[in-house]
Amino acid sequence: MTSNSISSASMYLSLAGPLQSMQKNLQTLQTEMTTGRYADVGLQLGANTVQSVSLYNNVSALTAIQSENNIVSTRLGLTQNVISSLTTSAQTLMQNMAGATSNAAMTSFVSTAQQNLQDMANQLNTSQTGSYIFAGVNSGVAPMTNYMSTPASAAKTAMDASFQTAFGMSQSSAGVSSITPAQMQAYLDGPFAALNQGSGWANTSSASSTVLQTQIGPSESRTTSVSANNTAFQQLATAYTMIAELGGGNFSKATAQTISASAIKALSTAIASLQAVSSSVGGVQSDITTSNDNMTSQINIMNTQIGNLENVDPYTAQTSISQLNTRIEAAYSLTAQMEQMSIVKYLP
Amino acid sequence: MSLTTAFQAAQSSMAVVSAQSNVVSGNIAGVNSPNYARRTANVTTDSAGLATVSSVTRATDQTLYDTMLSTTSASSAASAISSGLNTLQNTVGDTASAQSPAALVGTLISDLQSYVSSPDDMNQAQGVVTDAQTTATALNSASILVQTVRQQADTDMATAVSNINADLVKFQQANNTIISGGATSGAINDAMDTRDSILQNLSQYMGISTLQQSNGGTVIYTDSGVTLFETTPRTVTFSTTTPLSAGVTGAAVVVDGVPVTGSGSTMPLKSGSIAGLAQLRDTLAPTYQSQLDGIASGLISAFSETDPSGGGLPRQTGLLTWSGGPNMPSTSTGLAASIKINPAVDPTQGGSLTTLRDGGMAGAAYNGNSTGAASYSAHLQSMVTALNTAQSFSSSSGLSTSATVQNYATDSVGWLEAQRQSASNNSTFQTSMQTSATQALSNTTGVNIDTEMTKMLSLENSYQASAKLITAIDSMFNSLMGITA
Repeated sequence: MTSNSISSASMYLSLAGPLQSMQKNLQTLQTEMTTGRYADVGLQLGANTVQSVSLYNNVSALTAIQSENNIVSTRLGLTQNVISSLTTSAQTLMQNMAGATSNAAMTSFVSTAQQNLQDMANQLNTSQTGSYIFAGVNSGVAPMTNYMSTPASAAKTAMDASFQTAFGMSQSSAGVSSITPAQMQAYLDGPFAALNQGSGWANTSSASSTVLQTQIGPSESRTTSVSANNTAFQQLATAYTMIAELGGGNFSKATAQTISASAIKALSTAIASLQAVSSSVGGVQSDITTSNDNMTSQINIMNTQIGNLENVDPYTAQTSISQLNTRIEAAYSLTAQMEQMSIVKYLP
Repeated sequence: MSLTTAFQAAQSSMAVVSAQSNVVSGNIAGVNSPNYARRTANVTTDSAGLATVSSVTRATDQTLYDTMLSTTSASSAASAISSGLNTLQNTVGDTASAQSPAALVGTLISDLQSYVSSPDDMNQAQGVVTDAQTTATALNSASILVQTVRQQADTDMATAVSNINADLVKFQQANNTIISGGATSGAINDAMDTRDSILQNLSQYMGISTLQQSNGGTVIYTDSGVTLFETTPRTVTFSTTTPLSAGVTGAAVVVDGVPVTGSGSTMPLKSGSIAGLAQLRDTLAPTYQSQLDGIASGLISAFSETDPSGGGLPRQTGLLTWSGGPNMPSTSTGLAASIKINPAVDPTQGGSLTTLRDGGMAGAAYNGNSTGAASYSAHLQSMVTALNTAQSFSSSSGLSTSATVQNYATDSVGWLEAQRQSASNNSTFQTSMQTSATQALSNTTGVNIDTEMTKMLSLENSYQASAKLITAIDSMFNSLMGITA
């Protein structure tokens, strides 16, 4: 036999073999056409699958941070609301007090201060889905005890005791008229001020001074809560307690003025501190918004990259399918013709 | 020359035509049989002028045949590796479906990260525990799958070895028929067909090379040079190993006392399904197993608990533990099979979710949150830090030896897909090589039905001519008889 001989078996094989692989290709292309992605991404990408898997992981990590940021944003929004409401009521009281100088006028602020003190405790006990937002890490426990509660709160008892120690009488006794402005000033700056600071503040607040740190972006963390132990709240409580406890007493006019001036000063310090807290919270809020925007654009870029790696061009797939169809049809018609092309057909 | 001699010549011609038709019929019968080699009848004329079919030649082409055998071996090795890797790929799945260990570890880390932001949310704690559970289960089933793939390869090797031994016995019968010399040329040709088909069968299991002896016999060697058959079959032995769990090495295939697979082999097989299966069982699957074990080990280590007081308590397993917990594992081998969620944190097993936030799965002494603060996050933060810190991994896994768990798991996916891609490409290539070698051989030694039919036509003509001749001689005899009468 010469080298250009061909056997009948190989003639049929040469048609059947490619036909099978073309049909397999057709199936693959149809899958790619309908899903828009490679039918077998891993096989197509090989070692580059690492990139694809990392991109998916990064997208899911960023999405998780974003959804966590939504919770944090809500918490910071609530925090801002509380601070702004506390600031407003403190400002109102301060303005009213600045306009009044008489002892009698001072008395009229006592109930407002008591009300504000109670309100402050309620506001700082704000919770978000069971978590007290001003409690620091001790978020399972409401941080503030109400100063005005019955029976007398620990803070109220401590206040009464300190007045008793300083002057040998209670603040409601008639004898307080003998207290000189200098004595009062010394008391206010010393024992009274200590009531709402450091260990004294523990009578009012069970919050933890450790505040929440949250990851707000792929590599940035921020302080995302304000503790009830913040000095702004301590200063505010000092101002309100001063007015509530000493505003209505039978003090001499000069002493009452000392109290009034100290209270106004305390209020204004507290307001300034509250505003500082508010602006730092605002800073974090804006960082979160920026971070979310950054992450959204990163996610978009990464999704595009995933698409670049895994997606097939539908037009190319469509063209390949029609080419393949043509070839398969040609193979079918060839097979049919080969069937006819045998000398057996022409023998008598 | 007498009329009688002419008559005999015509008769012999008819006998030759019958014998040739017989050969043609045989060729046509064998047209679709892949191992049938075309026969040609050789006609000789003796001194008396009488034709006989002296022998029947079988078409052969040793070079093409050897190429066909070697491409068959290479193709079955490649397809064994490729199909094994395709099964292993089930542990990874599609990139978008997030079912690979890499994706599950990613989800676990990002959920833990979210939980750090709100440690007092027990729903998030439950989410992290569920993620850890899913990851552990995925690693367990991946490990089982790797073991199944190895076990299957082991079984397939055993089947191949028993088929080889059976084939060698049949080969001996065919070989003996050829070398004994007593058989007719037809029987010898049939024995050659049988011998070729057995060789082709053998070449699927292991790469072989053959050597023709002067007496017509064939010697078979493996492609690594070990004698497989010479006059008598050599014994091929293999025993299966059960179970082939992580770290267990399977037995070697031994030909004529020489191991031809495994790391201890000095003459390892280069091709054939046994070579492919051995590579899968002894190299590829164990490497992937070692990667899975590395992921498990990395996770157990990142979640482990240390003494929060800085005291001398030993490090113990945390969220994810293993069969030997709460002690830390000393080796990563087999961890993917035994990694599990710590019962101390799983509420369904009587555990407490708060131990995830505070620590203390290994005992109260490991609890870092002495005040019971609901939003205590230091312990969670330390786990996140550990997960994002590079750890060292065994070099036997073929991946970077220092990486974060996440990157290590991702690299493992890349390794597997790269192996699979190259195995698949190689398999496609070897298969097409085999197809073209088979076609080339078939074209040279196979039957073309048109040629055979044409031959048949010409035989028919010579038969008719011979018959005509006999009629003519007969009438000549009649004329002669008429004269004498």
